[in-house]
Amino acid sequence: MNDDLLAKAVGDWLEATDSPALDPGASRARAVAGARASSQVGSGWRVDRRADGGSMWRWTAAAAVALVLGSVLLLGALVPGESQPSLTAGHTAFPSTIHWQTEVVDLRAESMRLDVEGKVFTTAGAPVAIGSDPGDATSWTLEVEWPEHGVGQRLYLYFVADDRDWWVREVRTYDGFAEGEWVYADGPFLRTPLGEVFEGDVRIDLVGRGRPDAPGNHVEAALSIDRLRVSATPHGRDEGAADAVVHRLLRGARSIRDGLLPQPTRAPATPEPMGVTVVAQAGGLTLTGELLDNGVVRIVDDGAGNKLEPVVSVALAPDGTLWVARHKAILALGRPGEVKIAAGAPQGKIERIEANADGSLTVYADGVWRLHDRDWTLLEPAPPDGWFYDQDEGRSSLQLPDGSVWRLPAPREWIEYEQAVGADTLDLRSEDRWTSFTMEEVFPITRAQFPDMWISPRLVPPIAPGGGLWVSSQRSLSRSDGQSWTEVAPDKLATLSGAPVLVKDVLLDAHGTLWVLAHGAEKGADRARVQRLLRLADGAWETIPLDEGLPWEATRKRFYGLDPTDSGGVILLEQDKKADYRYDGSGLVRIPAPGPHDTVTMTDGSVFGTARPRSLGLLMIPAGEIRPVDRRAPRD
Amino acid sequence: MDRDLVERAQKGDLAAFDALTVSTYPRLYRLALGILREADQAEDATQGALIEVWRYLPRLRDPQAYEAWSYRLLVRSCMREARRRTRWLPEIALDGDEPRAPDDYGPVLDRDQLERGFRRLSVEHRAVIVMRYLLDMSHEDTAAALGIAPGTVGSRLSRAMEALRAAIEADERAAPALRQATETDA
Repeated sequence: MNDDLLAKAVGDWLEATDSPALDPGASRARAVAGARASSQVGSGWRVDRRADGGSMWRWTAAAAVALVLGSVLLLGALVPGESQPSLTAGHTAFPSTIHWQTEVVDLRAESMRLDVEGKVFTTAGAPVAIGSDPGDATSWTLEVEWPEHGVGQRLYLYFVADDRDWWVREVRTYDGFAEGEWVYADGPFLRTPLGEVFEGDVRIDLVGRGRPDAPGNHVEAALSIDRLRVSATPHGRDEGAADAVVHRLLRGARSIRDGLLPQPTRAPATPEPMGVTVVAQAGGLTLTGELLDNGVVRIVDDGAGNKLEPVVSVALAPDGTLWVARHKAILALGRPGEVKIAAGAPQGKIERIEANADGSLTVYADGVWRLHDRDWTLLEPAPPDGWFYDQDEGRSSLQLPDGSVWRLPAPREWIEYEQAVGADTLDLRSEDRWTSFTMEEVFPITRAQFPDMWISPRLVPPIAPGGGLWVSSQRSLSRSDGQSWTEVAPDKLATLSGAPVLVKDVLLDAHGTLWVLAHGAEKGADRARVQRLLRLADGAWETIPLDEGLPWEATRKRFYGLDPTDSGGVILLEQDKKADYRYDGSGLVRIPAPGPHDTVTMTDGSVFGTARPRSLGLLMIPAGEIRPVDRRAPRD
Repeated sequence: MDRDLVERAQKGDLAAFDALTVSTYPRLYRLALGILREADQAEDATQGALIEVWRYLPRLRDPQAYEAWSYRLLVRSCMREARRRTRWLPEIALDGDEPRAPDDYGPVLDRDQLERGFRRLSVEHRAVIVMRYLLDMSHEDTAAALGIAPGTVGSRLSRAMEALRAAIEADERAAPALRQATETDA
């Protein structure tokens, strides 16, 4: 394919996958929970939930405005004197000594020398553009660019922090050519206690792939900085730190703290007709979720449309406190109007929390943490069964009940294709011994799909009852007993035409039944049955047609995931989020997720949504309103 | 872009910023979706960019440059979003998931390849491709939006397309059996 054809193909493809009518609201059917005409939340945010599609878009944008204004205005108010953010780089003539200052980094040095590809870069005499991505309390940058030797050169420092130290996670520079290639060095460098200044001389070796014609496809660089003095002030670590962090990360917290949220309009919690539980409702906004057997409330939706910092997990403590976790912070909601904040220790995203009987929380993030009275303890070395993030290895791992650990390919950002392929192994640790499986071994059909694993993994390994592992990629399904791999049920996964099938999700339920959701690419007469749900129970496969008798055009269902139900069935999550479907052995039961135009009215006249697998937003949730509620049979 | 609106927003006029954001959101979201390929990520990136817009708008020296400047913030926001993406999020929207008629299966397979190849590009390379081939931005506008020299746009685009081609070709080399089966079937 020549350049023009490729460009045309790319253009066509981008247009074909373009956002529909520039309307993100259309592609994310919004849950309306307790939709009561309109709500006003914060300055300038007036939400008309009866809006039509066009207005819906405006609602989306207005909500974005509110999110922006709400968080930024408050941050501004809480951080007086904030004056020099520098995303728009400033230029300064460069004298003999270095002073690079942004709102989050102040770097001074007597001299800097960068040796790469036979060239020496010092910035001397060059106009230097200095900028920072201010990031957040745990991640920010210093980005310096200048012309020298007739090319544009860059030096990027990526800062991170935990609750004790800050340091440089990565250093990047260009290889000294026009249109430079990156050369990297992985830290940590300059580790320094928070609030303190790093001082010293620095020597850092950097390595990169270099240009295609570079010898060995390899380039090295050396960075030397004499009498370096760096102070780092991530957002939230300066004056008013706690408030700044809290309010910037937690949209709803402002309203809670300031008492601006309307008082609850509905209590107590109410069973909702779709099998989900309305946890709390306030001011026209409703939080729905499922109260699981272990006391964890799985948030289904809050209807608030808060996309800034989603709620990722909620746990109900024995004392009635509802803990709400966002990716970077945790709130405890007790009495109405009371909110306790615990933010800080994990560097990575918080993925899940569990409330313990002693009042502590178990927090799954970059490692497994215990949070008790605002004290964080890293629980090592034994993560519980399930996913965890291995700090040492820097990759996702899965521990099985037998103690063995499966390790996924090292996470890579979108850097280089070859690197990604090179990282494609699946490792097993058993009794302190690691065994690496290549993807060819794991999936004998083709390795073409495996570069996708690290990008958008379809690697969903449920633990088999015997301790083995089911692993799916986009196009195949395999099982391992820890020694070897077996490709499973290819006939069930194959389509009539032999075209590839996309395995979308795999689920092993509590009864030992393996569920496989597959999309086909079948042709012709069987076109309506393009999606399959496979079930492996008692050693026998069963295919459950999802669209039998219905033409695709009529259903437009696009399933992408599976969730278990307590009854041993599964819930199929629909692509466009208009509805989910429950399969309990007798057929699909639609679980409607009413959008702004399709609400469900309860017998008492109240209006509810919704059943979407997204968990968004934060509401005031008085503990007294949290009730475990028996589920009623779903209503058609 | 309404210069007056930008200037009023720079001075802290909330209504003006509200209007500015409403008019800005669609194009930012479109670019973000083109780059990140997933709606949720695109929404997060767009909102992140809007926060930056609000924070740094007073320091925007030339209100006329608002559009390009906001694009630049968005690309940065996309980079952040790409960096912090967790590995086990469900993949949701792939065009190739839809059923196809017999005669259009081949082109759709190419779309899959394009999707896979595109996802392997850096955000910077994605951005230049989306700006040029989806948004039809000029070299000058693209340069302003990316904060690079106009003359650099062509070379960056060329590199991006080279990388895309390399990714697609590597994909094809790695999947001869799959390819052969598909072609035979077609």
